[in-house]
Amino acid sequence: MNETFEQLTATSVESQEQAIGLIEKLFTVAQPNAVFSEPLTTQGRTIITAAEINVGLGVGFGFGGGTASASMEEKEGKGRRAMHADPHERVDLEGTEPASEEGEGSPGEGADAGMGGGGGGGGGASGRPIAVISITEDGVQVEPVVDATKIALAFFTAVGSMFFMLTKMRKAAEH
Amino acid sequence: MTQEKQRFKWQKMSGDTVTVGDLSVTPQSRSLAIRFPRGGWVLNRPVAVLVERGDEKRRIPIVDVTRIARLGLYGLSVGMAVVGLVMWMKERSGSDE
Repeated sequence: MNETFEQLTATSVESQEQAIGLIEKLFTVAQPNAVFSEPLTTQGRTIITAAEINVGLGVGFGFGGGTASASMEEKEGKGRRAMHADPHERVDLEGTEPASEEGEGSPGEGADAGMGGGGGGGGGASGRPIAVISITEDGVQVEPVVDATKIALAFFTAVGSMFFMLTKMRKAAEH
Repeated sequence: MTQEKQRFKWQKMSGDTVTVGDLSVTPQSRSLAIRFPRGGWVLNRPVAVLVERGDEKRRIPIVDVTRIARLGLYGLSVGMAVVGLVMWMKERSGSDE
């Protein structure tokens, strides 16, 4: 049982180290290379795209151990009774197997209680294009990328809020 | 030697310079990195490009049109919702009297 516990502990430690290594890799996103693409040259024009990156990550671990389930007093008491008894007479303790001649407690009693462990993690990432940088010999142009879907969603949210406010205003005016 | 890790980092960084003819373009980004005990969060966005031609230097900001439009519209929504909520609370307090 101790060997199993040690193996589980070693595996848990290894997993935690891997998780911490992954978290450290997360912070490499905070570099300019993560938001600007490699320059692409075509037809005398060099294009670089720019995007917004949003990344989050979290991990958690838990581990527990266990000890003998039977109380020590109970185990010592049984052992003492077995020691003082006739070594040739088998003592039948109530609810337990007969004690051994060496005076030890019955086999199977006092087994280690269970142990537990667990770990988990989660994360999310999103990217959104912001602009396209166009470089020619004449100069540099920065052209923004407009996400019509997101703007439309925000617009409808605003319309809904406006409707809510107008409804309340009308009720207030009636009263 | 242990490396001190900042829990909160808000910084502007410059990327690799791209040279086209006599033009040098250096992109700039701003990142926010928050370090938790068992995790982290990073927000990184482009802010500007630095253009150099000879002795002439120019900074071109990168405008996030979508973000500005969304912030404006959501701000308007929140403002109208607050006004409506205040009017509803006044109406309710008036009816209680």
